[in-house]
Amino acid sequence: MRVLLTLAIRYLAGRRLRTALTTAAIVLGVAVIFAVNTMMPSMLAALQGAVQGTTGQADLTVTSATGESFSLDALRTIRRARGVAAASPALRRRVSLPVPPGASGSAPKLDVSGVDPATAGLVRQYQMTSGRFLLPEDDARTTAKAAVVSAEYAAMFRLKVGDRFTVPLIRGETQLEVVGIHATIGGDQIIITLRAAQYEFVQPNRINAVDIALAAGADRAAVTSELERALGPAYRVGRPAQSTDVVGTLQTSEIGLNLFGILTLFMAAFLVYNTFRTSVIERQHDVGVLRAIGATRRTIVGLVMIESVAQGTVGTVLGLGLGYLFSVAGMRALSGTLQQYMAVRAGGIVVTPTAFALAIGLGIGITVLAGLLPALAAGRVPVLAALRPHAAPETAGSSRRRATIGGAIVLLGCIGLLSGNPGLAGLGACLVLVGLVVVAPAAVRPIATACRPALDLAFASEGRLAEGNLTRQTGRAAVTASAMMVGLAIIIAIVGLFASIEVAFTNYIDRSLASDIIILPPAIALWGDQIGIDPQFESRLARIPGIGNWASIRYAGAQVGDQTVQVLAFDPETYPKVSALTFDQGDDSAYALMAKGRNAVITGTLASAAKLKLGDRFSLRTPDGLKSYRVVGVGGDYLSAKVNTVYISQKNLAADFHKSEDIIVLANLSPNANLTEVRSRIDALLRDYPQVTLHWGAEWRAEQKQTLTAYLRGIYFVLAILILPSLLGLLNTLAVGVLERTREIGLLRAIGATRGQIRRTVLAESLLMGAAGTALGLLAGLALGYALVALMGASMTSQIRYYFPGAGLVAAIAAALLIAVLASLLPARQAARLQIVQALHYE
Amino acid sequence: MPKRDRTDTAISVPDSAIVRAEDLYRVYGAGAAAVVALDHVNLVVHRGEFVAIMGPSGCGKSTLLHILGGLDRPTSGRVVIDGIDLNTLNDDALSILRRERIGFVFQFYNLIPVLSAVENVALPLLLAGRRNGRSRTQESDAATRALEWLRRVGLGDRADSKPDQLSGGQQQRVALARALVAEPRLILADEPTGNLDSRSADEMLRLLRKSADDWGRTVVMVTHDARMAAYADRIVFMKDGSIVDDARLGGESSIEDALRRAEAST
Repeated sequence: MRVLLTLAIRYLAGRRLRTALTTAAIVLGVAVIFAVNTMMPSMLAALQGAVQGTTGQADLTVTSATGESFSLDALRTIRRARGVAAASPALRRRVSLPVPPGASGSAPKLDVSGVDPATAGLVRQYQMTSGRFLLPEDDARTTAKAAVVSAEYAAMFRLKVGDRFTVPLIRGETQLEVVGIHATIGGDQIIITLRAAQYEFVQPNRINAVDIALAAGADRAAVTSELERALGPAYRVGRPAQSTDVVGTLQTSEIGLNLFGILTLFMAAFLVYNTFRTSVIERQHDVGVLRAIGATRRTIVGLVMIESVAQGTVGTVLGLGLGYLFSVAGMRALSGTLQQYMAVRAGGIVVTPTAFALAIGLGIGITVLAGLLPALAAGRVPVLAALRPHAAPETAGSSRRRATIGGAIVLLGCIGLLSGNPGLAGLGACLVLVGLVVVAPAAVRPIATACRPALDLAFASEGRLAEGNLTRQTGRAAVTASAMMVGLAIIIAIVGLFASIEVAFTNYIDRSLASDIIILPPAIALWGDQIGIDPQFESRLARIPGIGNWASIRYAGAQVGDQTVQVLAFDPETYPKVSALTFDQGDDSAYALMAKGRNAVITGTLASAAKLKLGDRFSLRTPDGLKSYRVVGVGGDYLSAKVNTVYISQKNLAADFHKSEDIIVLANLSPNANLTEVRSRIDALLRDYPQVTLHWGAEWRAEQKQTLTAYLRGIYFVLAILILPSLLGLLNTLAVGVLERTREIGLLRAIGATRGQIRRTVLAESLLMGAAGTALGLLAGLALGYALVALMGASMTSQIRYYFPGAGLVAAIAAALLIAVLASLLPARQAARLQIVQALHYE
Repeated sequence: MPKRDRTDTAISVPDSAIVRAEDLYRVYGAGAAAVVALDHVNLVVHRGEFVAIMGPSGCGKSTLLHILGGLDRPTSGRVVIDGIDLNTLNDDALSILRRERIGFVFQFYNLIPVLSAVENVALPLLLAGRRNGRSRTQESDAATRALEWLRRVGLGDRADSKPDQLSGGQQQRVALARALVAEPRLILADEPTGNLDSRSADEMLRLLRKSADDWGRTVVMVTHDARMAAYADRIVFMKDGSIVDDARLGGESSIEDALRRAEAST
């Protein structure tokens, strides 16, 4: 109905600031949801593109399910399958390039592929721009190995056919000679013979991919199915296996960011509800007029819903646009990181129908739902009551009832929180939140009374007026206090969670990697993308005078059931001398057990995900199939805190995964070691291994703590966004209060109150509501934070214990009171500027 | 109370009464705090009459008007408006009745502040549009009719003005035009001059008079001002929730006589 649309638009336009702020909240929530659900597919697509660039448009590619290498036996099985015209084995790794002298930043990366010269050309077209492709006789070279490089790499390092260059591989700097240059597809590439790659990567007779060309007319799906049947679950057919840990990290981030987006939308919904509730109260008289001249209840509901839909639609459309810009900016910001740590070029933004549907559905849906209750309330008001509104004072009986019911719910919630069971703790936190919302109206009066001494000190008579105003309308004050409570509770809960994580991780850092010297690749926790160093490095390191105990860590990718896991391997005899795991179940005796048979220590996250405990047996998927291991400890360290990890001995890693390259080397100095000499000798050693860097343990650990703290501080700043809806909620309620007390304000001014006193009354009222919201928010936030930590502790590690975030609480309280002051400014100004005579005649 | 249907229910009324209130009783609150606003009131208003209801503050005159207009329901008793028993109507049907058969004029104008004068006047027609099938033609007709009624009340040149751009008298004339635009049979006016200066008040009453004489409406007006009541054909006096006198008028001197008579009868 056009008249309703006209009314809706005019009402929205009539309160521009409030409409803008409410719409902004919706825009923000939708933007975050859309950006998250756009950036993740974009990053995954970039990752996929990089991998495909490496494999280069083969019809199919077979990799192992774990991303690790496998034997050539698989190649024979693949070649026997129907529809396979040709199959070519490959061994591909990502390599760190040395940083040019004088340059800052970490080492860039490129892909090194070892291919069979005889068959590579059968499965993929290599467009040579100069020189030739590899030949079988290239394996006979004794000096520089033959290499075909991408045009981009050649341009970067000014290489032409016949030039020699070095690349840091596992055995150290390796000399290669350019025999051909090919057109760049995907990431940078260096292509060497398979045999050369097997030697350099210390993977004799092993490969990690088979590229397939299908026969003409072959059905791709049928061939894929046959291969999957023949090869079994240890292999993946079709798309190449992505870096599982990278994907896992991205997917974990996606969950976290989506959660943030949902929280933002939830706050927006609360704000929309508060705004529409306020707007309905303000327009109650108009509603009465419309009903008096013949509008039905449905018409009134429709009027409010039109506004809700209009705001939701505008907010969603703008949010989609802003979300796209967030995605573009985010991908641009991340492109350096993607290139640097994953050798992935960020491509275009991938916008999926899911992202649209989710953002639009949530944006409009939540706004419509939030406006529904106020709309129905508007329709229910009797005509006369709407025309001559007067508030019925809340009866003492109903207040007591609310207090009793709310208190009982809070009590139940506390029992759940303290039960020790994480699930019950989560339920308990929700009950505490709900209970506080129920008890809020009954809590307003006692909180106002408790604040009286402070109010009297700061405001004298205005404070009493404010207290009276508030206690007359406890319902309205409670809605605002509840909005503030929810916002503050979320903030305090997350502050408590992060403070607890910070303490736990700081303890982790101090215990793990506790050695004097740490030799590390550029990025920890993306092991699959790092090239390690050969065990000869350890022997050479041990010979340096001043080096005492030392140990190394090796990596492989695997699976336990359907869980992707990282396998970290150390020598159980040497490792405890330089570092340590922190055990949730079991103790240091696990090290001795790891040295005998297939025994493993697993992290709390894996124990929780795979439902394992001390003494249980589990199957670890390796390149050679499933291997049975026994859990001899549940624990972890800084390297594995959030990740499914299995710690095994290096002997088992070599036997089951055929890997012997080190990714981390830890060493302690012997007493009286000459630091300068040790440093100089290690630097000389590392010249052959530019893919790793030397760190002094104490400095590195301090740096990690600083990085963690800085990261968490950044999150706190983003959390501040969640407090903004509370600001508008307070502003709305104060505005309604001023409107309803227009006559009273006129009277006060008529009998001598100054404009300043009127302003201070409104300010005092705002502070009181802020105090109520803060008090309730503190309780709710502490409960929620405790529950979150309990849940995290149960799923990750018991080392995470609740840490009371004293400083964070003080900051949250200060922010809440500041919000109360800011929210009062506009309504206070409006109240003070009322014309006395008009106000006295107001009805 | 009889069951309320969604549709109008016609009751055959053999005479020319457009308003028939029978044994109306309205009480607010309960127990010791109960206040009897209407104490078994009976009233008949014939078509084309201009009736003024007078009485001191709290006598129940506004309550009576609200019940006659379906804005409130009696505790007991019934009201028949233009042959329709209001007790048989549910809330939606009451709204439609107010839209189609009754026009309201309030003391404080009650215009929608975000709409212009012509939009305010057209509101009852536009609200009715959904029931009768909405079309651009009907919206255009509503605007035309609204403008016509604005001209009739002397505000044709202020059609696009918002309420805050009009004087009190002008706003009340817009309210009257809104009350008349749907061609209702009955106009109910609650202290329509209470917020106006004397010139504007006279102007308003002349228009109400014209509504009855020239435009064929029945007018029931609540007022406490004898001078305004003098415009009516008949005065009903109320006190303490009851009708104490009901007199036909013939000039201002009759007003004073009627007042004296009313006071004497209490």
